[in-house]
Amino acid sequence: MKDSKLKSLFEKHSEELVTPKSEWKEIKEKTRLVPLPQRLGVRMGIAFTLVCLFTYTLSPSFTGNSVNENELVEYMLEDSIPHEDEFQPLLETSLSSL
Amino acid sequence: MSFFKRWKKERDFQRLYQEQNEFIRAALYWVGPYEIKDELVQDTFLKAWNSWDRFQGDSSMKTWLYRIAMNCAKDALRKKNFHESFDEEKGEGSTAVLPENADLENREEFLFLLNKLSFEHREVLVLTYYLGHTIKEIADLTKRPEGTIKSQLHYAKKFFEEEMKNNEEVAI
Repeated sequence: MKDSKLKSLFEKHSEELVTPKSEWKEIKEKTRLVPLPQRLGVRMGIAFTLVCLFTYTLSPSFTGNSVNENELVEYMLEDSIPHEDEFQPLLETSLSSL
Repeated sequence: MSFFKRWKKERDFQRLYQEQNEFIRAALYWVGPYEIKDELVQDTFLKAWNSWDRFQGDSSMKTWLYRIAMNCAKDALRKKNFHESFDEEKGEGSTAVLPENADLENREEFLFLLNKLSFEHREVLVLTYYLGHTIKEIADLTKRPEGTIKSQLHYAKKFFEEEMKNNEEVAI
């Protein structure tokens, strides 16, 4: 059999040798290859979220630094001391019991 | 793995696919089981991806990928032959004869004859006559000595000639 005959037979019978269009896409999915721009986008999103969280936790509204501590103590104590009008009857009762 | 290392790996892998996809497909098309030829191409590239870091660089990427492809084809044929082990008509080295008045212009009959050859003989025939590789290139790809390639090629050609000759005699 001549070499050229074998060559032509192989060529003739390989006409349907076509790469499926979705092949690379499927390989990419199976190897979890994600296009670089997409991956950069995800990373930038994560970085942005982290920066936002960091900024928020350092912000005065989160740490409470915006409130004067003395004012806060005064405010909290205010409610525990009886008002003047409540104090007078209590004092009288205590004195009378003596 | 660092971001840039992975990015480089992906870029090189994509380049390898673009450069070698057609060669691997063509080699597997004739050598592996025809029914799952597309799956075999995918398997080859997935295996290459998974063992990427183990590539030592002692051969070219093409040779490395080709050997992965041929291992995939051998595995697939082994599985296929196991399932068809009770069917003497099919498979490598079968004793079935070519139908009378067989015409190699017919794809089925050409494949029938090709599949009667062993894996190595088929491989050498495809690399030479379909992919146009030289004896030296085939020896590099298959890691077999040039002398072996020459004798395998000679045997495969002779086999084709004899099969066709026998067929013509039967037909007369």
